[in-house]
Amino acid sequence: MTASTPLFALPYPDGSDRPCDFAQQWCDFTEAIEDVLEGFQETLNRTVPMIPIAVLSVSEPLSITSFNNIPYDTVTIDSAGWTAVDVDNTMISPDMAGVLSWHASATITQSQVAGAYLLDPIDSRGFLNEPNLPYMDQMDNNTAIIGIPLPLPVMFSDGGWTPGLSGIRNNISANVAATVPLTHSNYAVYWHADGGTV
Amino acid sequence: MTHLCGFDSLDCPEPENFAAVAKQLHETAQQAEERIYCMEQFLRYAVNRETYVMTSTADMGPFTSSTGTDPTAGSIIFSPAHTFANTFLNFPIPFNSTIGRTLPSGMWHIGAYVATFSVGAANDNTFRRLRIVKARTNPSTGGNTFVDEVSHTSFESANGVQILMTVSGVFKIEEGDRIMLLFAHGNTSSNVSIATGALGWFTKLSDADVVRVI
Repeated sequence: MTASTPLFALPYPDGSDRPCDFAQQWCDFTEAIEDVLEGFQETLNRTVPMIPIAVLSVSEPLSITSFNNIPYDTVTIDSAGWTAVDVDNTMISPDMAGVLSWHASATITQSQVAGAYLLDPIDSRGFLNEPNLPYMDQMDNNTAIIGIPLPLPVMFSDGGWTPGLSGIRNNISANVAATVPLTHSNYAVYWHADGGTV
Repeated sequence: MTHLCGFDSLDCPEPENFAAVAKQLHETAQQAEERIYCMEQFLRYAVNRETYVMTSTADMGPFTSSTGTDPTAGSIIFSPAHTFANTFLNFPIPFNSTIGRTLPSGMWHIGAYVATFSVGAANDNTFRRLRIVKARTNPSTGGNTFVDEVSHTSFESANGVQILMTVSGVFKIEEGDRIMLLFAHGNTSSNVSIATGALGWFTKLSDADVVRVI
């Protein structure tokens, strides 16, 4: 009658077991240990050496019509299949639950028109499950290149994202100019934590 | 009584087998330790990724003005010419030169915070710009090619208030990349400095070898 430990169910012989069964029980024990270690390894594999992360960037200057999403031209990294730029090059679509960190930025050349810009993350699912996304605006007095950083707080996602179909885009608008002359944009999303109860 | 099926006794561990049992258990223990040790190294790394935090211990600058529309404008801050403390550093110190820092390859979260002030008169509504730039040396010209950047622009009024600025972003660092923390401004009536207590930070998020991890 094999007994087992309470947390990981590691089997061990008890006083009623026959010594002749010891070899099998030993094998059962080592296999159970291996199963536990495999589970640990699977968790580790999500954090070391790589985490789920996707970064898109704009590397060639372009003009964007105001109130449009930034079309990214480069997949800097995508370790988890969160981008599908051939389907939609404006979006990162995490498909896992957990706490994710978001970073976006836009660098705008002198517009020739004084006004202001707004960098606005858009949840394509219509804010169903996230709190309202913060945005960043920036005045332009037509004398300088304008840099708009948008580091978002970590946010909880419930999963259910569909790569290429649902995710978060970065919408950019100008309150005066019809077009936004963009030289750089960098958009990153990465896994921060699983989000389960500790 | 005849024993048709024989009467040999079944094997059970005898004292002469105990050494073999001990030897086998020793091997199993060593195998387990090897696995656990490897996992422990990964665990330690997962909770202690390469991180570098710098805090300036003297004003940086004063810096002269730049043209606001010059995409390459700016002075490097936290350069070897500046006085700062390595507030936290858990990996070999990155090589720092007048053309930027060299970080180990990977995905890095990089940020900076500064408080700028005009050392004299402030021109009304002039720009202040804090940038993090990933640069590479152009093999043709020997100059910098700005590959990627995040930046923050603000404007100072004639009242001459301190302008507090912060910027951060995620960068992919590869062989030959340099990270430059740059500050530029358009104040022509006086130079602009960055006050003691400015911060620069680098945290490695991940390796950059593309492997599907989920």
